[in-house]
Amino acid sequence: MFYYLKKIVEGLVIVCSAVMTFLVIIQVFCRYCLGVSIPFSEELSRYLMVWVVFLAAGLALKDDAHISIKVLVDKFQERRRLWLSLAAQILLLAFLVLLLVESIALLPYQRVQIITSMGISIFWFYLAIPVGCVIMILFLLPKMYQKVKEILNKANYEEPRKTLKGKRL
Amino acid sequence: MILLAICFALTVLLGVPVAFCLGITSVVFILVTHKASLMTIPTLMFGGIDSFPLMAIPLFIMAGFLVQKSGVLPKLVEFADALVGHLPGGLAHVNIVASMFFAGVSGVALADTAAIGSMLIPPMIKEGYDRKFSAVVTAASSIVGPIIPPSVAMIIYAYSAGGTVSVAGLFLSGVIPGIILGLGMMGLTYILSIRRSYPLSEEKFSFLNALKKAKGAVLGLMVPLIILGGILSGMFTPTEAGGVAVAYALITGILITRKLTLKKIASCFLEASKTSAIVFMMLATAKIIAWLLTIYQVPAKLTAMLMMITTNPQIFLIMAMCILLLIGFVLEAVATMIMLVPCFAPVAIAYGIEPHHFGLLFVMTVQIALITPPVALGLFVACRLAKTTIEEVFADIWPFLFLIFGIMILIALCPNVTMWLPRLFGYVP
Repeated sequence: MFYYLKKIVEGLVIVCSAVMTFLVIIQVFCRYCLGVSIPFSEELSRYLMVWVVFLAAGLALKDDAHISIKVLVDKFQERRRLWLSLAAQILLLAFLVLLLVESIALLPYQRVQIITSMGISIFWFYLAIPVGCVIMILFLLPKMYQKVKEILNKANYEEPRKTLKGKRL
Repeated sequence: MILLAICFALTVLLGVPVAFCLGITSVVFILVTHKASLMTIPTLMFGGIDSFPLMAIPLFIMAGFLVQKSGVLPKLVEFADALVGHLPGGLAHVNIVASMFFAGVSGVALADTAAIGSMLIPPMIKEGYDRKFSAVVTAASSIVGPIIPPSVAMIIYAYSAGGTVSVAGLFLSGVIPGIILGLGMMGLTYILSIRRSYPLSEEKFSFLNALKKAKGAVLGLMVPLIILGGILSGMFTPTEAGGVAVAYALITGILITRKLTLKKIASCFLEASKTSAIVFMMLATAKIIAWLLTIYQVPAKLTAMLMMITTNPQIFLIMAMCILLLIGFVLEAVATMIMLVPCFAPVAIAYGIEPHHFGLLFVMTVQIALITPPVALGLFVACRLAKTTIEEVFADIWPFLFLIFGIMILIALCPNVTMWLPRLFGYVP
């Protein structure tokens, strides 16, 4: 299921970014070669970019590509490192859930805001935030599950060594 | 305020991605102080990325990927080889010059490192350069990438500085320092190559050969010309220049070199989107922090504090650069910029420093973070390509670090180096 989710999100990102790029190119082309300007190209491409960002942020999360600092965490022993990174993931999850809740709470207000150049509600673009959050949470959960499993495995594995040395690792 | 700093430091050190650290910090802050409603968070985040000037970032990244995939890059390397391949330490020079050429196409240093490194590190090792040196040259030379326009870092700076600098002016101010930096590194390589007796190429420099290779490289070298020319003549905005660069790359890739397939194009778009999403998430959450900072008038307070230490703008400049350099040892370039530009840029203006000059120095200093161990993304990529480790190249990186920082201090003290071109085109009074 996660495989299909990934494929769908990837497809959406490609389509959105392609349309966005195309709009910018067309905007220049129309202005110089046809002498007309498209009223909605700038706004639409900007809002599409918001979609691209929130969708692709999920993919980046899946790849662990978001910039983070591991220097300190890497100094710890493996078991503590696992715990710490689980804690980091929990914080991340908490933030995403909060953002999801707040952005959904905001949605009804956006229905009435109409973008003048296109005549559609800004709601459709603010929707990117909750959707992006859901995608990020969906990609984050299996990672957390993996971490928990690793911690449990480690606990079982290190039990005999602990008694042998007589002190906690 | 202190709460902000502590909360941020804790989450960062825990290994939470920086973008979300900024978000978590602001949530905690709002919850504690009750100064604002949590509902402002999504609005601010949306506002932080919903910007036409910022769209230049994905476009330039895309153009860089497309040019790379369309097979223009080997042509640029061949041209560089024809120009400087005959010097002692030939391939190392080729590496630097090719980085400078590619800098005119791509806007990010890491793309530079990966692209040039994968092409030149293997032949360098084969010809008898040691792995450490190959990695170091590749990583160090790619620093010119964000200094020679186009530059994603400069777009981020111009946006974060809130309209006090223009992207075009910043682009122009980077041209000369970028070239100086490249030449400086070539000088250092020259000395090192003679001292360590690195291999000498048998081929002699020939003007005809260079001319022949230039013809192949023209396709790639056109990109910076189109971008800069278009922006300077007022034909299009930097963002539209990004769009034009993508269109140009697509046309050459599909029609002339015929290397681009639909699948490759799609993967370029996807990769570029992912890369920019990482930056944009930081921009989005940094917007909340920036908003909180303005409410508490932090930049004004910071200025007052620094003014008490020194009123000399030059001392302030060097102090700021040292602080940025220190931060660069543990933090990555883009993250540093997004967090600190809103604090530093107003202070620099208060000191009477030309905003473009300060902007360029800021961008340059922050880019050094890519090669300052232990957290050095650029060095890391280059080391992986050269099959060595960051610990091993530790000793080799210092001469380059000193050189770059030395050149930067010089540039800091003579603003004419950076300001001459923008002034010529009237971007700076």
